[in-house]
Amino acid sequence: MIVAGCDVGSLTGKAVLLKNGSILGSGIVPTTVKPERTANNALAAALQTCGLTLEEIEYIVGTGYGRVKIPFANANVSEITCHGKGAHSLVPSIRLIIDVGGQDCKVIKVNEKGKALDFAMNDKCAAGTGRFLETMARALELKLEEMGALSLQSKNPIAISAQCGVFAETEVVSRMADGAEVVDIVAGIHDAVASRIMSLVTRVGLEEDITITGGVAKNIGVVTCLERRSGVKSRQLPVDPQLIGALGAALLAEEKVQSGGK
Amino acid sequence: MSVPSTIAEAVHLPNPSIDRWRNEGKKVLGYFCSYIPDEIIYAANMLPVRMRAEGCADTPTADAYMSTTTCSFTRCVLELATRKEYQFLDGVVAYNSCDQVRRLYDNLKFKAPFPYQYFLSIPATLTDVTLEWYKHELSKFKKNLEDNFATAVTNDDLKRAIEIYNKSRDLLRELYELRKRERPPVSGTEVMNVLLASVTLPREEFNGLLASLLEVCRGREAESDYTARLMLVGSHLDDPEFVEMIEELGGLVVTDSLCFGTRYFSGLVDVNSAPLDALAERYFSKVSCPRMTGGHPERAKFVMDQVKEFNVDGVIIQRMKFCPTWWGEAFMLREDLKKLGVPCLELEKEYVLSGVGAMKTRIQAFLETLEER
Amino acid sequence: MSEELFKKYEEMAQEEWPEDLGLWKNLFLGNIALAKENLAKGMPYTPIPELQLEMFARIARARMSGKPIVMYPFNYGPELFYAMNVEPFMQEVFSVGLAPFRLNEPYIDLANQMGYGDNPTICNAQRPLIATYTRGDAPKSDLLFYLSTPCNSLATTYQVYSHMTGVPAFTLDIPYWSYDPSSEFYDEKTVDYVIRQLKDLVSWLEGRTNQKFHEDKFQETMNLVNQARENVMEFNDLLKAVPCPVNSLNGFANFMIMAFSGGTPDAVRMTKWMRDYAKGNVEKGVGGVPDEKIRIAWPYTHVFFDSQLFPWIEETFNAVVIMDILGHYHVGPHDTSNLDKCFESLALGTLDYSMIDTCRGPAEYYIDYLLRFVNDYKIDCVVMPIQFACKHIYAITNLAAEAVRREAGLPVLVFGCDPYDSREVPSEEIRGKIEEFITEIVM
Repeated sequence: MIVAGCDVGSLTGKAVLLKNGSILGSGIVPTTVKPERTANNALAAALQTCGLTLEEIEYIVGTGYGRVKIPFANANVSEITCHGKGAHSLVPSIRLIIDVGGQDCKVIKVNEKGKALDFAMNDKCAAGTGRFLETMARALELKLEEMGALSLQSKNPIAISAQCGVFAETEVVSRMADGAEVVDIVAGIHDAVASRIMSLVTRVGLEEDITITGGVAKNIGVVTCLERRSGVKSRQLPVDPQLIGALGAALLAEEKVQSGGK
Repeated sequence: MSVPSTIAEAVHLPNPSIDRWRNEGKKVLGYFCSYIPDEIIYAANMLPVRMRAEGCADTPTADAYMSTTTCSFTRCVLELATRKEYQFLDGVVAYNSCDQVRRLYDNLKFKAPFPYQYFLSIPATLTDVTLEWYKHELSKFKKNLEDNFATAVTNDDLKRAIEIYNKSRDLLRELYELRKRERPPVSGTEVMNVLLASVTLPREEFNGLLASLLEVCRGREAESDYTARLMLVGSHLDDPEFVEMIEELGGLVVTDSLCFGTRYFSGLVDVNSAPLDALAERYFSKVSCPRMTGGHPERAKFVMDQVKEFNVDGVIIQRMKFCPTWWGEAFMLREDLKKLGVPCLELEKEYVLSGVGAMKTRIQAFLETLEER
Repeated sequence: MSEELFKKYEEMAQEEWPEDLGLWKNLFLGNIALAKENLAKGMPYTPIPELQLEMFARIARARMSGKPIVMYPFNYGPELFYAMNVEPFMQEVFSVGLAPFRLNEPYIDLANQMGYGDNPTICNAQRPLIATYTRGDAPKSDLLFYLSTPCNSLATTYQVYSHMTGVPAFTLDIPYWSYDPSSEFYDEKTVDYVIRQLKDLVSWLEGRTNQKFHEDKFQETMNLVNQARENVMEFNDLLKAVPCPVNSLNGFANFMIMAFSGGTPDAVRMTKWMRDYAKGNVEKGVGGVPDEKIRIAWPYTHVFFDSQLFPWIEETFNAVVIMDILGHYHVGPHDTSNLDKCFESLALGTLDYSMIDTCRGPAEYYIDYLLRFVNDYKIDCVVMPIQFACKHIYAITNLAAEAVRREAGLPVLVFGCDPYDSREVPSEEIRGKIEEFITEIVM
C-alpha cells in the first residue's frame, strides 16, 4: 500500500511517498503563489524520484498552511500533529519537537505513541523564525547558509533584541556602524532566535528527548544556542528535517487506510 | 438549525428593531461592559445597546490618537465614531473597565462626542466599602439620566426592568442547559448570535424571540456531529464568525466564560430588595471580569465548574491583542487548567478577525490533540 | 555622606544575610562602591546616595529581624506602613533601579521566556517582579499592596504575582473623581471613599501582622510626612525661577525621598536639604544648568536605562528638564491636628501622588496639569518619550500634544520607546530624535 503526505509550507512544498512504513521517495520544491501548484510540484518531484504515478497512491494527507487547497488530498491534518508524528516515528524516544520554519515556529509535545499532546506557536511576527535570519543575512550582506557556522566563531556575542524583526534590523545596522564585529552580531542574532524559541518550549514544558526540525534546523548556530539554553542535546533525525511534516502526514495516511478510514 | 431571521437581523447595528424604537421617539444609549446595569437604562425607557464596532476595517485616525499598541476594539469604536457611524445612538455610557475604554471615552469626548456621554467610576475590588461606592455611582447615573433626558426613573420602573431582565437570564440559562446534552440543539455560533441579540434588541422583544427559540430547541435533534466539546473563555468577543471558524473545524462550543455570555447573564437580581441596591449587589457578585483584582480564584472555579457541568473536552482562551488584564488572567488560568489536566488553547486575536489561516492551524491542531483522549 | 555612615553600611554587609537577599546584598555593595567613587570624584552632595543605601539596609534589617515586609508600588507613599511598623519595599527597585546598569534586562528576558506579558502588552516596570520571584532574587515579602490605578498593567502583574506566590494582597480602589468642588469632575464622596478603604487597610495590616495601629505613632508619622511635603512644595515653587535652580536629575530627588522614606525624619531632613539648596541657588541667581537656554517639560517618566540622557541634553543644548511626571510630587501639606485630619491627609496624599493625580481620571487631569505646568514653569518645549506598553498615557498623548500646541503654542515631541529596555529603542535613536527636535524646531 502506497500512501503520500504533502506539506505546503510558506517557503517550500514537500511530499513524501511511503510504502509499508518505508520512504519510497520525496521532493522539496519552492512555494509558488498558488498552494495547488506548489502541492502538484512537490508531489510530482517525489513521484519522479521513484518512478511512480499519482494513481498508484492509495491515500494522501495534506498539511501545512496550504493544506485545505491541496487538490489531491483525501484529508488534511494540522502540521502540528504531522510533525509530531513524523519526528517520533524516526526516533521513538522523542517527546518534544521544535520546528523552526520560514515564518512559523512551533514546539510540539508528543506522547509515547507520537500523538500531539500540547503545542505552542509564535504569535508575534517573524522574530524566532527563518524569516528573521533571512532579514538579518540581507542586512549584514551575508549568505543565509553561512550564518550558522559564522555565529559559532564569536567569543563575545552582542545581545540583539528579538522583539521584532524590523526593529532588530535597525539595531543590527546601528551596531555595525558602531564598529561591532560581524561574528559577534551574528552570534547575537542566533541567540535571539533561540531565546524566542525557548519561550515557546517553556510554555509547553521541556521533556527529553528533543529534536529540532524545519528549515532552520540546518542552522548549526541556532541549534547550538538552543541546546545550550535548554541544557539538552537535540536528537538528529535520519531524514531531512524539512520533510518531517510530510512524513508525518504520510504516516497518518497509512493509519487511515489501515483503520479503514474515510 | 437556523435561528429565526429576526435574531439574525438583530445582531447588526443598526437594525430594524432599533429603527422602530427610534421612530417611536425613544432614545438609544450605547454602553460598555457588563458592570453597567442595563436595567437602569431600560427603566428610563431607553434602549441599552452594548457597544460594538461592526464593520470597522481599518483604524488610521484612531491609531493616531490611541496609538497602535492599544486594544483594537477601542480603536475601532473611535474610528467609527469619527466617521459618524453611530448616528443611531443618542449617547454612550462607559466606566473605568480598563485603561483602554477609559481613554477611548476621553478621545470620544474630544474628537467625536456623542450628544450624551456619561462615565462611572466602578471599583476594581469587592468589599463592603467598595460596594457602597458602586451603589453611589449607580445612583448618580440614574439621576444623571433623569436630569439629562427629562424623565423620572422610579423604583417601580426599575423593578419592572429588573423583572424583564431576570426573565432573560432565566431564558438564557435554560438555553445553556440544553447545551449540556450530548447532542446540543444549538451551536456556539447560534448562541453567539442570541447573545448579541440580547444586548441589541429591546429586551421584551428579545425575550419573546428567545422563548420561541427555546420551544423549538427543547424537542429538537441536533444536526451535526462534532469532535470535541469546547468552552470559550475570554474578553470582548462579539464575532459569530470567530465561533463559526472553530465549529467549522469540528469543535462544538457548549459553554463559555465570556463578557457577552455567562459573565453577562449569570446571577439574578434580587427582586425583594431596593432595586438600585439589588442591582449593585447582583452585578458585583456575579462571575467577575478579570478587572476585579483578587477575583481570579473564583473565576477559575467557575471555569472548572462549567467544564464539569457541560462535559467540556477543551478550553479555548481567546484574548484581544494588547490587553494586559486578559494577558494576566490567561497566564493564571492556563496554569490552573494545566494542573487540573484540562486541555487549553490560547488564541490572541484582534477585534477584526484576521490571520485566519494561522488561527485555524492552531484550532485544528488543538482539536486533533483532543482526539482519542 | 560621612565616613561613619559608609562604615556602618559596610559592616552590615559583612554580616550573614538570608538566602533571598543574595542579589540584594550585591546591589547594596555596588551602591556603596558607586557612592564612594562619586565622592572621590568630587561630585556635589545630594541626599540621594544615602537614601538609596538606607533603603537597601532597611529591607535587610527587616528580613533579618523578622519584621513584616509589605511590597508596594511606586505611586503610593509608604507613610502608613512606617506608622504601623511594617517595612515598605518598593518593587520597582528591580526595574527602575536596575535599568541604568541594564541589570533588569535578564529579568525582562526571563519574563518573556515564562510567557508573561510580552512588550508592548505589559509594562516593564512590573514584569521583572515575576522573574525576580522565579529566580529567588527578590527579598521575600509577607504582604502585597497595590492600587487599582494608574494602570491595568500594574494591577494585573500584582494580581499574577499574588497568585503565583500566595502572598496576600490588598488592593486600594482609586476613584476617578476629583475632590475639588470647583472641578467639573467633583464628587463630594471621593475623599471619604479613600479614607474608608485606608481604614480597612489598617485592619488588614493588623490582622496579617502582629502590629497594632497606634494613633500617636500615626499622627507623628503624618506630621513628619507633611513637614516633608511642605519642603517639597516650596522646592516645586522655587523651580519656577529662571534659571531653574536645580538640574534635571535633581528634579527627581524629592519624589525618590517621599517614595522611599515619606513619613520618616530622614524625609524631612532630606527634603529640607533639597529646598535649601534650591533656595540658595535662586537667591544667588544660579542655575542648575549653566547658561540655561531651554526649559523642557517631560510629562512622562525618565528613560531609566539611559542615566546619561539628561546630562547629555543639558550639555548639548544648555537645556534643563524640569521635573518629569514622577519628579513632580505635588502634595499638601495638610492639617494633621486630629486623627480624622490625619486620615484625610493620608487619603489626599494617595489621590495627589505622582502620576496618580494626573492619570487616575479623565484626560483633563493630565492635560490641565500639563498646560498649567508649561505656564508656571515657563516651559519652551515638551518632550514625551512614551512607553509602547503604557496604554493609559499613550492613548491620550495626542490629545495632550494638541492641547499644548494649540493653547500654549509650544512644540511637542512624542515618540515611542521602552524606558526600561535599552534594546527596544536604543540611546542613539532617542538622542537623535531629541536632537532633531531641539535643533530644527525649538531653536
